Amino acid sequence: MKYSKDFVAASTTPLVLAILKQGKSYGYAIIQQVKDLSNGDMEWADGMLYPILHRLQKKEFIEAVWGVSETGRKRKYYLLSTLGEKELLQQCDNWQQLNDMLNQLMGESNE
Amino acid sequence: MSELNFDLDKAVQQWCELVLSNDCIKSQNIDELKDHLFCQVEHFQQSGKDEKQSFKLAIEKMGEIDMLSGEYEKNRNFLQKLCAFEYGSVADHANETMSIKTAIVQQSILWAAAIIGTSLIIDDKQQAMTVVFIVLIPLSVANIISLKSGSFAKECRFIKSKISKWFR
Repeated sequence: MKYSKDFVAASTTPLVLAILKQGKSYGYAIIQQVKDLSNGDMEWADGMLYPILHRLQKKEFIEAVWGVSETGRKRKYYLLSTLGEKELLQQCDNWQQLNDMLNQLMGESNE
Repeated sequence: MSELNFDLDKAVQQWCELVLSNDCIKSQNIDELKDHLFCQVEHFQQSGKDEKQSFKLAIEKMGEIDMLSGEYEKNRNFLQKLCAFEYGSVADHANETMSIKTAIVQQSILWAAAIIGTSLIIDDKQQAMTVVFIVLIPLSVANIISLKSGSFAKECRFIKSKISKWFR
């Protein structure tokens, strides 16, 4: 399946927030997780994620902490904030509603 | 560089310097990109590629530096964009060298002095406008050149790109 640029852009925030809901993570791991979840269909450009993470941080949906990787490298981890959790619920509702709307319309057209 | 004496750390360092030379990415963000690059290199190495090949693939995957900095550029507010235009890389290395605020205060004082000084000199003179243009415009150009310390060509490119955007 091929996703349009707009679709990828719109789905980034809920995906990132949902991944961070499972626990702290970092850029590379987030990209890999999205790739795995979509069975390789959704592959984010490497450079694209970091500015988005910084924007989410600015909006206080996520927090960043510096840590150390298994190999001893400096690594920036991101965590979901309470505000981010609220935002995630809101976005999930929105997507759910969109899904319901589309299903209704498609159901009607099939009848 | 041959396969044998390829130095991964050095290659990554050089890549980081190249990224930093582009004004949009701040030095405090480079460690994050560096970690990403190493993760990607390790990933390729695990799939059986040698260090040099892995590095090459990893930087390709990271994308063009212009595109990368374009994404970062979106995060800047108006003041930061203005500072980047005025100070270039000075503003980006502000944390190590001087703070942006200090630079702004310094510049404001200098410019206020220049404006007051000029107005005192040209007070009531017929050619006031001419003098203003002769004094202030070269002063401002010299100011930008000195702050950008050698990256004037880049400044010209930037102005050109902005102008072409406006007239498109």
